[in-house]
Amino acid sequence: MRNPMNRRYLRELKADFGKYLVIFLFIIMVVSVVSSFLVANAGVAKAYYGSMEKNHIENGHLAFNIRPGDELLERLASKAKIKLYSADYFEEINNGVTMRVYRMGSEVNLPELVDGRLPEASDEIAIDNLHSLKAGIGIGERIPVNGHLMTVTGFVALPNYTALFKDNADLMFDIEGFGVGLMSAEGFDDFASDHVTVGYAWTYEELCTTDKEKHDAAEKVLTVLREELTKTNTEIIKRAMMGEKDLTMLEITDFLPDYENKAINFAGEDLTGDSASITVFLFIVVGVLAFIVAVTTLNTLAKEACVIGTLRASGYTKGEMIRHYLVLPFASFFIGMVVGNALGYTVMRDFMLSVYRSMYSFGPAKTIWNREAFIKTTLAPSLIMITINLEILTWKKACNYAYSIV
Amino acid sequence: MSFVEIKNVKKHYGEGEARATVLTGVDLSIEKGEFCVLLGPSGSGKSTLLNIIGGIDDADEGYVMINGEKTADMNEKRLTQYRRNHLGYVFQMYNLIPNLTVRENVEVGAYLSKKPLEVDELLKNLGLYEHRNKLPNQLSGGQQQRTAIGRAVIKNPDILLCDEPTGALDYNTSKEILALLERINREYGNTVIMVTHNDALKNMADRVVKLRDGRISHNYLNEKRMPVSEIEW
Repeated sequence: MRNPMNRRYLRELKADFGKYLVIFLFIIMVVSVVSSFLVANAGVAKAYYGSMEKNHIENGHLAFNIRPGDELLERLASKAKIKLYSADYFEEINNGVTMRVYRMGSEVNLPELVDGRLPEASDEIAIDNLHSLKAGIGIGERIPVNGHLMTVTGFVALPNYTALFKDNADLMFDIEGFGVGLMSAEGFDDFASDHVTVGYAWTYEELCTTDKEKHDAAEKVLTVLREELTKTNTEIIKRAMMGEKDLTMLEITDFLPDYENKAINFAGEDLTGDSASITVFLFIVVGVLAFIVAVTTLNTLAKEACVIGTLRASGYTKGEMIRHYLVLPFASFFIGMVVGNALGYTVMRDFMLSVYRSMYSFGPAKTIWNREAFIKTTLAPSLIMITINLEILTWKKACNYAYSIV
Repeated sequence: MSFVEIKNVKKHYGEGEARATVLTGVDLSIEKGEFCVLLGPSGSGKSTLLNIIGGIDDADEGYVMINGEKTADMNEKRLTQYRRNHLGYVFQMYNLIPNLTVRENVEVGAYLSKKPLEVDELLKNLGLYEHRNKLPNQLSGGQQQRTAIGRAVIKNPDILLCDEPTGALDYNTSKEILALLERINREYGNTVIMVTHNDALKNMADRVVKLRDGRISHNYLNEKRMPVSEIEW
């Protein structure tokens, strides 16, 4: 015989439709936002970290006021156990927008093509996809660079500029006021020579994994660099004292290891923080909702205490009673969670991806349905809901409440 | 050994100055199939004794043994099973489930039993068949109490515990309900233990137990049990 108490569910649902609808809609709203956010976050994180490895991101970069001699660079590379790559650039300022243009062809910080193609001719340029989006620049458009009109051939994402920080001292990235671009080697050399910044990127010969290893390795580079600079400048001073004219002292104008580079790290830190924050947000909301459901159920128990007491006295178990009164709120919650997840993993995920795309520059990214997101948006909230409700409803005083009233 | 054996049952509520002794050592034996009336004024301990027999309250001392099994030795799960399989409860307030029909309310009791009576047959017997699809709020007080009795009786329990079952009913309806309980006891052979403060009802019982100040003042068998229809109060 089926439990005749089950016939109450539909009738209760009709009678208290508003209450269950609120739980249902609320959990759909929260879970859909969180699940879409988490799968978008996972997708962006994969694109972000994948790009670092695939596109050979630098371990740091430095710049000089003048081009140093090859011997200095060789000694620096040898003593600090690094490999140096040319990373010259020049900056263009048009209407308050700074465009930092690099030469293509380096073996590090390879561009990820998002749309169009990479520049080939000397009057072609590829620009950062996020900046182009904000500035409203399309492929095929011509933009002024160093007094010339350059044709935009494509949009790229550079692994060392996922967040568009013009200066590492800036508090926040500047998508509209700063962008990066790439020109072919020929095009770059044709007209950048007059105001080029002499830059180099480096990678370590041995992989550094921990923060301490990275820090020690960067310190080593800086120490060797200072020694070599001292030697070089001592030579220059000697030559000047010998009467040689038009000598310039070699100075470091920029030195930035990767672990301190906001343009590289900011997005990663934000992704990690976002994931943790949204998860905590979900858990708090579900916790509060679980308390509301428990209190509502306690009120129902109080309202029906006489009936419950009679049924318990007749032999209904405590478990049967608690299950009976939790079926509707739990069903509203669980169905809401399934619908919320379904919406999050389908309709809303691309919206959440576009939120990230509007802040950070990264290559093609897909939302990733992952076990962690499933655990965070389904299993953990279910556990919270069940645990809090059972804890409150099986609390001895609550359990004996019905009896005491009868 | 009697079907229901109650030995030296003591019970108090509260502590310190608020301590109230409700039962001061009750000994009682009830035979299978007996209609037992527990009589006494308010506060005499009759409802507490009924609740201890029903396993929804504990004795401080002493024990209740039903069919050779002590209720105090049962854990929560076993006690629930005991109530499920052997007891039917009828309270003064009907405590029907408001959004279930008469038939469904009776089925709630049937669901609990391994050997339930036939629902429609019982509904006819209770005069509720034509009202079977009505909700409790569409019934009179007597009809609601009959439904509550049906819910308890459908289980075909060994013991039917009734706590002032006519306390909220008028004279005629009370007689009707008491006659029903009398008939159930006779037809189905259940042991009925009924708590009441109406002294006149002692005449309908096989056994009369009077309580005063937490102890039994009288306990005797009725030599001639009267039908309810002949009892006036």
